Amino acid sequence: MLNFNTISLRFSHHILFSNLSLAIPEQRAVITGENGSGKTTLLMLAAGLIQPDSGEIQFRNESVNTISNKTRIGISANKIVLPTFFTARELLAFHCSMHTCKLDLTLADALGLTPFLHTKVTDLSLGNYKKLSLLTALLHQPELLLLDEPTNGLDDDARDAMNGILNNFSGQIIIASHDTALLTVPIEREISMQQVRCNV
Amino acid sequence: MQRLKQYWSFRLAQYQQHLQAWLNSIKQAAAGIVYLFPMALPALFLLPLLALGVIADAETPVYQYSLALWGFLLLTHSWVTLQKEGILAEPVTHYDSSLPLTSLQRRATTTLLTLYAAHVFITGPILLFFIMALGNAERLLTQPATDTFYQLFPIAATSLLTVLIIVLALFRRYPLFGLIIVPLILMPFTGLISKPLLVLIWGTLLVIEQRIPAVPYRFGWLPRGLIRLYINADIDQPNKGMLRLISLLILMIGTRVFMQSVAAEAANAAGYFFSFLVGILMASKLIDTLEIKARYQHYLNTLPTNRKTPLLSALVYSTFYCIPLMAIVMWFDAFALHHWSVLAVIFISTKTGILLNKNYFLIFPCCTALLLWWLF
Repeated sequence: MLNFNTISLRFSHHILFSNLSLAIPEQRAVITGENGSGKTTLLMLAAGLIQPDSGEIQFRNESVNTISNKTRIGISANKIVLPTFFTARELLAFHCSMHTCKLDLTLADALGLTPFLHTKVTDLSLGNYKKLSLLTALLHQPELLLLDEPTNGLDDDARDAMNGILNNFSGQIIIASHDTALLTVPIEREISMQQVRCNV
Repeated sequence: MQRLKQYWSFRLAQYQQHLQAWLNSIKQAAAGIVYLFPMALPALFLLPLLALGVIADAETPVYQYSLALWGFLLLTHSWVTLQKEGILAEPVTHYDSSLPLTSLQRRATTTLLTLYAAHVFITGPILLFFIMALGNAERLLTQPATDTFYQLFPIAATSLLTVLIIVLALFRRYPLFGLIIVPLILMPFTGLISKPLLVLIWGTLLVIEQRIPAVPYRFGWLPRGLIRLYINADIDQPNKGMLRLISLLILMIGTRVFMQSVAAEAANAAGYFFSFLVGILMASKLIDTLEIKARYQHYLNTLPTNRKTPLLSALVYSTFYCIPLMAIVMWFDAFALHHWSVLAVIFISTKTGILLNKNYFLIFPCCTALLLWWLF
């Protein structure tokens, strides 16, 4: 279960979250809201990629910043810039070596990335970059999957493959999206950013 | 004629735009070197003139001649390479090709633009040759031909090699062997041959290297972990490494030439100054590595490592990176033990400065140097 405990975060003079407490026990949740409402920031906080000004975020009753939780969490978000100097395959190999997981390219094949595995990350199209980002979130078999606008930039086949992967995923999934129409994952809870900002 | 004039204005504007963009982007290219740039710019223009003084003097020993010539060619090649896109109007090449001009007109414009862009380097030796030849015409014509050859050969050969180097910089791949590896390896032995033989071998090597097809090199084994990320980032952008290597080579050539040309006491003081510069140049590699870390900070945060691991890895990597550069400094054999001590202290203080405040890191080595001066 993911818990935000009295989180506060401000960017310069703009208060984004003030004493936010939010528990997400559901296995499938979606965070909705308009552009710029803070969905991605909430996911980044949940993955421990940015630190709140105060409060703590926990997954399985442990801070998301611990090394053990880093291996339990997988995140794909546009704001996470992947190392562009690797080829796609080199990046996946590097990622697996850091997470001490086996490099399994089945998912890459399912997403249709195989022909582009030897392409430099910087030369990948938006859709293929998105697939690679999804793979970095999935390859180490996390228990919590955080996805930011996962259907953006994907073609129909890749979207079907991704929906298949998500439907078979055994862990918790939290998706941030302003448009959930293309997702076939059964959603148990919808959290609107408007509610979050009003301190759920 | 009017059309040619307009075409010249177009190419010049394209060149100037590139130059402006280059000056803006250089701040992001290799920050460590660029921080030294404002200080180094006057020296950059003085260096070729100083080198030409050494080169043109027929009495200069072969070893010093070869060093000065090497430094001059390195500077020329780097200067032209950095402006290549602008000189050749590469960003608008398709539009340029669509213009109704003959290839001769295009080539003439490119030549004029090259002269405009590299005036110090190209006109310097040629002008010096004509000044020496015409100024002493009477004496040169009356003395034996071998003496005239002896007097004019060094500067004439430099002019020819400069033209060759500029052509290579504009139209061919980097002469890695002819301009860096072979001169570096053979540097201690150049005093054993004559100037004409040296120039002949050098010129031939530069030409032959371009005839041999380039062999793509793949790194077979690379260390695992975060160090690998930093290595791959450097492999992907070899220009940054080349810029640092060439800066170091020019600095060390300057050190060698200067220390050999002045009295022992002045040479010792110069040794301190150059070891100070080399220390900063090497330590500033940390800035590049930290920039890579900052660029991919979010991704690095997703990895199951301690928060301080990326920083520690950057420190370790940027230090190990300097080992081959240190070996090159040793190969030049210019510094005494006390110069090496200063270099080490400046290296450490610069790194500390970068870690504490990247924008004002130069204060740290400068204060350290003042402290050392005051103490000893």
